[in-house]
Amino acid sequence: MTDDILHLTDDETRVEAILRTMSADDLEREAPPDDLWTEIEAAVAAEHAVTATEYEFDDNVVDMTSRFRSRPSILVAAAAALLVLVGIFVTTSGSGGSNYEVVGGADLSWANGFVEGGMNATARASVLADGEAEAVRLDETALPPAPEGADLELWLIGVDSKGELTIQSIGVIADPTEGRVYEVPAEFDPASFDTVLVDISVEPRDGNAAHSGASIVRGPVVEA
Amino acid sequence: MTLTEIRPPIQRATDYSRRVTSAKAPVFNEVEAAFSRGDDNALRLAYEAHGRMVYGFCARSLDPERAKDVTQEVFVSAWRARHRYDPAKGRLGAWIMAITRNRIIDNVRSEKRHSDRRADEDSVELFTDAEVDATSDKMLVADALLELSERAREVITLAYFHDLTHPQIAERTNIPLGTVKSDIRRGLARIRQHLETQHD
Repeated sequence: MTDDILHLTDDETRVEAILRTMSADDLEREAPPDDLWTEIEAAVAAEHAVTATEYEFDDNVVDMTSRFRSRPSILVAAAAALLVLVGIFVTTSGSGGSNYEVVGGADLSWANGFVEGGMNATARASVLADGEAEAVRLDETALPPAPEGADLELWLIGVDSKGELTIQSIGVIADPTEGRVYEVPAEFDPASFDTVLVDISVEPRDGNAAHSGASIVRGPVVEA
Repeated sequence: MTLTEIRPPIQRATDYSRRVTSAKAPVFNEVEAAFSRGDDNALRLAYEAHGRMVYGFCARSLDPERAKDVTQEVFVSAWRARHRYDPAKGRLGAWIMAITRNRIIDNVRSEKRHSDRRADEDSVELFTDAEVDATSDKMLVADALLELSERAREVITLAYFHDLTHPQIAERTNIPLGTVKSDIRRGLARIRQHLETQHD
């Protein structure tokens, strides 16, 4: 027995077991499509097109119910070029008493350049549709409370085929755990973009309706 | 909830990685260090080092269009989460493959839900989680094999792919029997290190 001769550790024996299931074909490597790196580069550029700023968190939970702002779409030029189409397909049903169906989801996570206080933040968002309109629901969240004088806000960022961004606020997050459905304004059509990102940012109550650039978490929508 | 109460993100490892418990001295290279620092060209370097392995894993588990999409998602996600990668806890390839494994399983489960609703159509054979894990293990081992010296790779493939005994390998390759054994032993240890990751 080879094992007896070599006196292998348990882990090395497991490596042997894997090797015994393999053949020379397993050493062959299929080259990725030529344009794949370009698309990865473009997707990363799009994610970071909204630049982040420093923001100080503290642990005080603030009353966020008094703030309501309606925000217009904003077009921002980005360096992104080729991006993968995010298809939207109706798949499953059930959404808090409405006729919405889950058509996609996004795992949101912190990234370098985002607000440092949100480094361990995560969220899971579902994209919903009822045939006429879309909505977003936060299903799982581990978010820090907003700093004093600021709110957490939910955004959709659409990236078109030219790499231009459309940033749309869909609501202030009063309670991340309440399972609220955030309706997407009709002027933001997810299907018109190559990529749609869900973003949560810290927004100071300064009267400026634009995205602050202080994102906590972000993630691309993928079909359900 | 306060910042200190927020649970840490969960990054699952492959089945193999979860089983590995030993903690030898870390082996990492400039790409891994650059990636963990977030250097400007680090993602490109990581793609050049591991793009074929990730795409190959996806291509073996998913249709070509999804394989391409998932490969893109994996590298974008890995870059976004690069602050969680610690070269001292394992090889970048194993860490990225753990992300790939999770993405593939998510996609396979999603496709299964679709096919369950398309009962009247031809059923598509989809991978189980265990098959995805087995493919991941093979891809990582293959990647490690390709990093070995040509001599070590030859004796290991003769031993395990062709089931030759050590004396038969020595005879066929004109390498002393003791060298054959040491090449295999060291090669297995190198492969084991290649697969290790102690990331959460």
